[in-house]
Amino acid sequence: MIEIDVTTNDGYLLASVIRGPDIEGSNCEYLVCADIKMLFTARIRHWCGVERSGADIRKTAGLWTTFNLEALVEYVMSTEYNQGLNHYLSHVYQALQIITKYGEYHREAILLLEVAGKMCDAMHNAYNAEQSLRWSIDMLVQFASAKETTC
Amino acid sequence: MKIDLSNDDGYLIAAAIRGPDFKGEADGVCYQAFSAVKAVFTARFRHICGVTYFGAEIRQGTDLTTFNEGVDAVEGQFCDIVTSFAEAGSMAEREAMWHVLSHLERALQALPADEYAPYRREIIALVNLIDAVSRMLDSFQANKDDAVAWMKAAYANLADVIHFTDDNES
Repeated sequence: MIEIDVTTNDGYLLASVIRGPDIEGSNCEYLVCADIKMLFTARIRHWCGVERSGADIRKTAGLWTTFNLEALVEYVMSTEYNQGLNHYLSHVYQALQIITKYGEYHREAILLLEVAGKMCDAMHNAYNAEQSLRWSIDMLVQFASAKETTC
Repeated sequence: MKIDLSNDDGYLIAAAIRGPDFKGEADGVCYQAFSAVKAVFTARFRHICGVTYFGAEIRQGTDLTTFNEGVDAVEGQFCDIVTSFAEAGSMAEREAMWHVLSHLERALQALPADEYAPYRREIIALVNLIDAVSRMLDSFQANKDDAVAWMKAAYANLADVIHFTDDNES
């Protein structure tokens, strides 16, 4: 488990991502943002030892059955530059960079870091962003299934 | 401050460290309202928790409208900005604001009383102001004048209390 001391830079950056995105919007947008929260926040919470009932926590590397890749990609690709989501992802990115220092979570954190980076690229209309985002999520899924197989 | 995220209080404190996820144009009412809330509540909460990260906006001084570098954080009056937001913000934007405020309120209440005794009065004043802003967002259409007056009183109280706190700190 990762310990947090907010008087340090790393501690502050990790604490900053414990709250999920400030979800809002229509039903569809809400569901996509809930997936984004499960993808990043819920996993980081688990690594940091959060056990609070009511908080979304993802205890395994595997993605959940209702995860909707198409909706996620469509949302990220079609949404105009979203300052709120960008702010949230920038915190996710910084936190995951710190978590890669922890050997236990190193590989998965790098894969999540890649997904967060590709989502930012997509919001900034980077070249081939959609394909890169799909590949990065594929890598994460492969990692999770390999981990389950070896367990 | 070390946070133990395996208990509820630790989780609630960590959940309030990040500021709101701003959206909209920088000169828009929504952006300004979230910015004002960040300056008055989040930035001060970070200071109380001992955050020193160079990139974080932290409010150390007695001035409710400036961050640590003396840079203006709130252009104009907090109460006027939040009132405009209550009037013009969409339902989704107001719900996002309520979400942020509820995290801040629970986090302030979760700070250990003994350890944060020097900030006790200020913490109560901050929570009162959060209550007043939340109430105004809820009842703006039905009870605008009373809700605004209540918020202004809570803000004035905070301004008084924070001077008291910082006198103690020095």
